[in-house]
Amino acid sequence: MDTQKLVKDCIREIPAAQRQLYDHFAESMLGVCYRYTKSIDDAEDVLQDGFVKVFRNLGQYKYEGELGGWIRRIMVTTALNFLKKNSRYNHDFSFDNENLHPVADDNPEVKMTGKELADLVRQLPIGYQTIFNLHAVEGFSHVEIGKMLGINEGTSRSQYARARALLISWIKKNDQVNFKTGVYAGK
Amino acid sequence: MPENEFEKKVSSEMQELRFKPSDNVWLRVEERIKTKKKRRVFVIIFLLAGLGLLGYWQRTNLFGEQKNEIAKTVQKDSPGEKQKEDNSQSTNEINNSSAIKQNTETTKPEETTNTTVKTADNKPTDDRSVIDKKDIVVSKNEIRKPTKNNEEAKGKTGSVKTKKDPKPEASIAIVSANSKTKSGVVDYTSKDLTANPETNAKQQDTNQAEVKPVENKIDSAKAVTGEQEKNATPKPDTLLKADPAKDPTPQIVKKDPSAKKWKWGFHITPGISSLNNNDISLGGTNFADASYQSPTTGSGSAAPPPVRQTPSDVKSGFALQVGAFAQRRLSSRTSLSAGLQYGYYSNILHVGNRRDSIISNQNSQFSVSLDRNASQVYNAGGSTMKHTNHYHFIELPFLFQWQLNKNKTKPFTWSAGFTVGQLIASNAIMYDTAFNGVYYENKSQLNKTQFSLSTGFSWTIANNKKMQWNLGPVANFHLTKLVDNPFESKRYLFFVGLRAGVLLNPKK
Repeated sequence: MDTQKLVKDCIREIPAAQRQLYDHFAESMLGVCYRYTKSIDDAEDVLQDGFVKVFRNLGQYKYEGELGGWIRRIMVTTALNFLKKNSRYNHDFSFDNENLHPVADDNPEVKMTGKELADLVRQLPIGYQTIFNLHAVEGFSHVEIGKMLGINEGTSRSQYARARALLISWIKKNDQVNFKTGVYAGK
Repeated sequence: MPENEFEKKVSSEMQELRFKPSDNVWLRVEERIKTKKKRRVFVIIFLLAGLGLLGYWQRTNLFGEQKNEIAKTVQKDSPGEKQKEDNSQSTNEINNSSAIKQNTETTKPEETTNTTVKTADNKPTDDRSVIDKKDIVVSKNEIRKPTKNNEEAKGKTGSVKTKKDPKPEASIAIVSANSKTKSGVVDYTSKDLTANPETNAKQQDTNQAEVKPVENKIDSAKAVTGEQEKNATPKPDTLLKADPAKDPTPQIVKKDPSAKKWKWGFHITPGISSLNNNDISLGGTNFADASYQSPTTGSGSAAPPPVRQTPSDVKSGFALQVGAFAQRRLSSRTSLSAGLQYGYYSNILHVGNRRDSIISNQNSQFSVSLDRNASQVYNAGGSTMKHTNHYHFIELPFLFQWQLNKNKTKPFTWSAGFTVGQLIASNAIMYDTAFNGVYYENKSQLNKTQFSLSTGFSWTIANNKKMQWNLGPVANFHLTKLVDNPFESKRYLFFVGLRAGVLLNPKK
């Protein structure tokens, strides 16, 4: 795929190019959206909003770095905005300024698939889930996360530590029942 | 496992996470990214609609201009009024007679030429004699039009044409008198003609000879107007008849059983209405003004007119349309609707005191129609009373609707069509130049059957299984003149409103 030509064609609003770009990235980007939300429907809503932003702002893409990375960042930003605006999420999308660092030095062996891990992460409270995704999966530093969410760096660290500890405990227990009967069960 | 190995493992596993989105996602994305283009289309449609309105307005204005020209030649003054005018102006005539004589004798050819050009300006003036002569000169130009065209083809100027007139003396006499009155020296009076009997006789001949063809022109203009009206009315009929026949959508309709069904709906459309007054936009002499600029009589004993009140400005009033309609889909994006509605329109005039007493006067100088049917007479020109003309219509609207967007749940449509209306009641008053200008009620002069063009936009603001709520602006422009009144320029009703409608979805 000639990314440069594809992007230019999309900027010129050629429908075939737009469809090709969508087809190429839609599945992986829905995976991103899936991790940040609690249902596949919400994930698709985020994906839709994200691709609209992609097509409207494609002219700002400077061909620095991979196009997939640029689109991913847009999807993550769109997902965060969705969580802040959606009433089903924004009640729980608050972070206490506590700097408790639970001991979570365990590094258990993970034998789960990506889907199983994602479903496990989605069982976390929305604040934990978001920060865990941003730090562990996307690779953002706590400083960056603090800026993105408008919280302290310490809060981000604390929330992440709690999320990590909870997740590891679930993995250790391998409690599949707990996955399915969680408050925020998926689809 | 080393530190952060957990994060690496989780990250690598979850980066590979993929899900196939449903097809609806792309459809919605596609729809939203095309919205920008649609907005451009809407802007273009609005501009085109604006241009259409401008064109319609301009067309009616040109119509009014023709009417004004004709109006200048139609004189309605009665002998009794002229007697009063003569009496009131006799002193001025005596005082000015000698000056006129001198000026007439010293008129130069250059002045004649210049004056001839000036008389074509049609600038309003209070001086009756100037107006009278202007009318005559304008009429002569109109009569000579074919000759003028021939001469123009030969490359000759207007001043040369005047000199080549078969009645040069009469022409010069009229023009010179006009030039003097224009310069503010004196009025043109019968005394001048008495002083120069030959010129006077030729003047009378000229007046008679020139006015007659103008009257012929009036008749021909009326005939043309009648033809235009006749030609204008069948257009909507062809629109209605042609569309269902030409539309190839029956095949599509067959695919969707629900599309065959008629949908019923109701609407209420509050708004404003007024009369399209040609004179306002033209800024020229209106018909009523022109009609009292009467020419001199055969004796030439002309006098300045009495202060005659012109028609009141028409202000817009409240209007309302309420009715039911049936709508049938022609294709996925087009539909046809017909309905029955009640239309109320109004406009506001300012009139003077009531003068019903003059109706009983058998020797009144009213026009014939006023004598027979007039009631509710008011002085024109005053502002003591605000009179609201009410018009109550029963109307049959026929509209073609075209959906501009592709959203099936919330369509945005543009509609166009025509409406046939029957006036069922009205208290409208109309102008007459009699008694220095009056307004009176005469239902017989109202055109009770009205054809109008309709257009509008409609947004669907809510849509559920049972009904569909629409909102949007609409406009109606009447093609039939409202009043057959020779003392007022052609006026047409127009209506602008905000339509709120409910379309009932049929049960499947």
